[in-house]
Amino acid sequence: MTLGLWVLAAVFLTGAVLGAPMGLAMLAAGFAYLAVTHQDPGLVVDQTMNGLYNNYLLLAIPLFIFVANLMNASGVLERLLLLAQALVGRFRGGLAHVNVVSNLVFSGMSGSAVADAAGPGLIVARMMTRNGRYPAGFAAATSAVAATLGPLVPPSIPMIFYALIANVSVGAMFLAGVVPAVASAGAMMLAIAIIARRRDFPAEKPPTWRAIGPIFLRALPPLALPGILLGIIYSGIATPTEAAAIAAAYALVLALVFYRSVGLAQVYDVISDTVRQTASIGLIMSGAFVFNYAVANENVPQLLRNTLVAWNLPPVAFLLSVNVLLLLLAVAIDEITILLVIVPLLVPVAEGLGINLVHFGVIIMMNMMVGLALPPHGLLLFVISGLTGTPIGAIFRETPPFILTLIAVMLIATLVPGLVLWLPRLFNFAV
Amino acid sequence: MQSENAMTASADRGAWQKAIRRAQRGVEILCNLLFVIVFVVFLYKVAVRHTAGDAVAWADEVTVVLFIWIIFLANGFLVEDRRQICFDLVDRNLPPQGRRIVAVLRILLLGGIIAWSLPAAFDYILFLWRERTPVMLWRLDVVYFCFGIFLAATLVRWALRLFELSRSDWRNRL
Amino acid sequence: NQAAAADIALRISCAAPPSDFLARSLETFKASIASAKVGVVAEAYPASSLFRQGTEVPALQRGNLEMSTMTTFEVAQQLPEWGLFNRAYIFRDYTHMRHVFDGPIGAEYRKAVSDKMGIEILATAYLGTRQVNLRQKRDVKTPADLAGVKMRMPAGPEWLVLGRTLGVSPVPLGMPEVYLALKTGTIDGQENPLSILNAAKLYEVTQQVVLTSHLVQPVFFAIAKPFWDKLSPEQKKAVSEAAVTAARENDEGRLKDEAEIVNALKAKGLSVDAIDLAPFRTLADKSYAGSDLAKDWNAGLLKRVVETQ
Ligand code: NA
Ligand code: NA
Repeated sequence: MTLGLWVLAAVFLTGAVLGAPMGLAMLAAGFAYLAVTHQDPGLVVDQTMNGLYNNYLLLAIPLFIFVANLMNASGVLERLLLLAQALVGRFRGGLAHVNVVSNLVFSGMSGSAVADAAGPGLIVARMMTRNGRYPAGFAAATSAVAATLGPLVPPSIPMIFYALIANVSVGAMFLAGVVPAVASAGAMMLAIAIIARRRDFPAEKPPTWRAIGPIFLRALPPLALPGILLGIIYSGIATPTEAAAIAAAYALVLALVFYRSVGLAQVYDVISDTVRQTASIGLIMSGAFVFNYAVANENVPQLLRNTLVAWNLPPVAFLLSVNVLLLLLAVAIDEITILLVIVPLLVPVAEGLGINLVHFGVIIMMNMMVGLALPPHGLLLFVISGLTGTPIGAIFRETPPFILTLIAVMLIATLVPGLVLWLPRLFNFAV
Repeated sequence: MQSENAMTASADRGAWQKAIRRAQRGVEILCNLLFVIVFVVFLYKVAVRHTAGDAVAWADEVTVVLFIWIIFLANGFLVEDRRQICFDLVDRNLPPQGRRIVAVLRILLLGGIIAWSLPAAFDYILFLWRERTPVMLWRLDVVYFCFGIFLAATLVRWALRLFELSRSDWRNRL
Repeated sequence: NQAAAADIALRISCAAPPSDFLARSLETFKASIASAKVGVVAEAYPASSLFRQGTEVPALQRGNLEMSTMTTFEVAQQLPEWGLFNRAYIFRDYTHMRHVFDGPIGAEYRKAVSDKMGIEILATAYLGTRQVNLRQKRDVKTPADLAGVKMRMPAGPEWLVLGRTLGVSPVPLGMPEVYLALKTGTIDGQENPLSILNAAKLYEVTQQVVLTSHLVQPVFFAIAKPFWDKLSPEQKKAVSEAAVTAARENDEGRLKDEAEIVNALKAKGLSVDAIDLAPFRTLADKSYAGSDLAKDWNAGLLKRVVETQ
């Protein structure tokens, strides 16, 4: 490793361990790198600004965050949960199933699984533990693990990031995530069914059919959002970025006009939150652009690729080692940081080994997310523990069956690219 | 005498913090307004393409520029460090005095590096007068100036933080 | 190792993907410089992996980058008087473009770029000829037949006028989104050199190529002047010869490829239509005459270029 790279890594790691914002630690590390390699510190501005300026696709991010925040603030989510409860509450472990399904559909919009766990995940966990229906640890573990599924289903900001990094189509990525997501959700629900039967979890009293009707009608509009979004994109009405704006308009009309559950003052607050979250993500991205320059300038991707080629690692072995690496990293680092800092190093290597980059993207996504829910340090577990006040130990105990299930699905997806690529190919994508 | 001084100082500080809060509120309103414009321009663009068949070439550029300004104004003035994406496993497990030391160390390390690089960063931004955005032909030094504002605001914010941590009531400011 | 530390690093940035002829020719460039053993080590950064497309020129001018593959659009941004080379139908074909840049006009151009931008052009290469590629087959004889066609084009005033010349409605869109947009019908077509169409597999989602040949594009092996001036005569010779060799290799490869792609596209069921370009040239004359861009162009240059044989 060169002196420049040592300095880059040292400043970043020191700053990060001292608890500085990751993005600022990365920018400072970039400045330090340029100083010791006798380059123009202005390159930090060049890489940051041109990086943001030339990535038009990034505009979808604030809009999706807005949708997620508005859905939370307007109580739309609760309406959905009521419906889900009415439909599957009668089955043993019904609310746990609801947790999985609601996460599958409504997370991934904020770009951060951690934020999702704090939104939908928290609401369902609270519903589950109300009146002691489910053990608190089980409810929290379900929320944490379910939050890992969202980014595989559109809308998904992590997918947009990956599409930018690997230069693949967002449309292909969105489609490629669907089968693994449904398979993971199915596997999780199977695990829940088995656990619920063995531990005799409660079932709800089914509501009358007459009661279900209005609940269904009131929940239908938000329920239609992912479908509308896909419809807009795949019918050619709008590009993925424009579709985000249409989704935001739809959510706004729902909240302001249809449900009348928020006023303009609350919308203002939702925008304020959105602006702050967008800024945080933008800062991390800026740091990542600077890192990418340093790493490219030191020829790290080529060196990595040459090393791996010299090892003569077969693609499957490479994918499996990437799985392990990302599972470990995700335990401590936010998924956006991983996507923007680590993944750009791996993409050229994967490409060199002839691995399909859409398949690779889905594998990366699944790993990063499961890593976030991996005991003993997975970030999601701590977030849920903090928000629900459930002891972390109680959550750890309930996590293994879910994690093992997800890892099994992940391995299948790794070894059988056809499963991941089937849907994009069905839509004639050149993948 | 001493207590009177302290009272004046805290009154000064109160006024001063009020001014900061008012400025922050202004930036927040501005950023929110820019966000609304981004949103409206997007919808306008889709609508015009489908009705008039015009691609509204300026729309992409304007939205990207506004987006960049939102990011750096908000990072400079609105988002507190602890609301950023951080790795706080170390910090969280320290006693107050330890957290104080860690906060001072990280500000000195990163703030020192950024302050050292600040003139070159501004020099680069000013150098870009010769480049323009493709459609609106806005000068890039103007468009990218928000990054300079952000760096400078971050340094000022950190300097104030050091000041806070150096005072006797630092425990309330952690 | 000591000798290696004394080597001068020459980094060259390029927007083309590694598989493109331009990026491949940079590997040859690298190798020729290495074999000259003059103490210069070149490293190529394809696919904008070091500097983003369009940001290389300021990087060269600020001393942050040594070389790039510069287009006429980047030059015209700082020297609008030379914007003529972005005009549709300025070059009849590859040979015409070659003769213009190998002749006195090319020499004047290089001098202006050197004096006013601080960038030396070491060699001129061929980036390809842009052709119209449509999602659904149409009968195209004149620009009027392309009216209302939503055509993906890069953003910028030059492209707007170019779009007017083709008769289309330009839509700016990032390249990674083009495939999906063509598939779904967000756009009706795109225009690019055939090698790019082929590499992006756009033939899977389009039915027709209309050989409008509206822009024959040169690309320059450009080097920052302060860096260039520091090289010894021996080093200059090695670098400049390597650039000329690489440019020639790129041109030969791309010309052959463009001819082969036409047949390959036909074999894939696309209709590839050679058309009479006269109506397009007429509209070009008209739309550029009325455009603000043309007011900045060097007087008399158009005539001289046209008269170059
Ligand atoms: Na999702
Ligand atoms: Na999620």
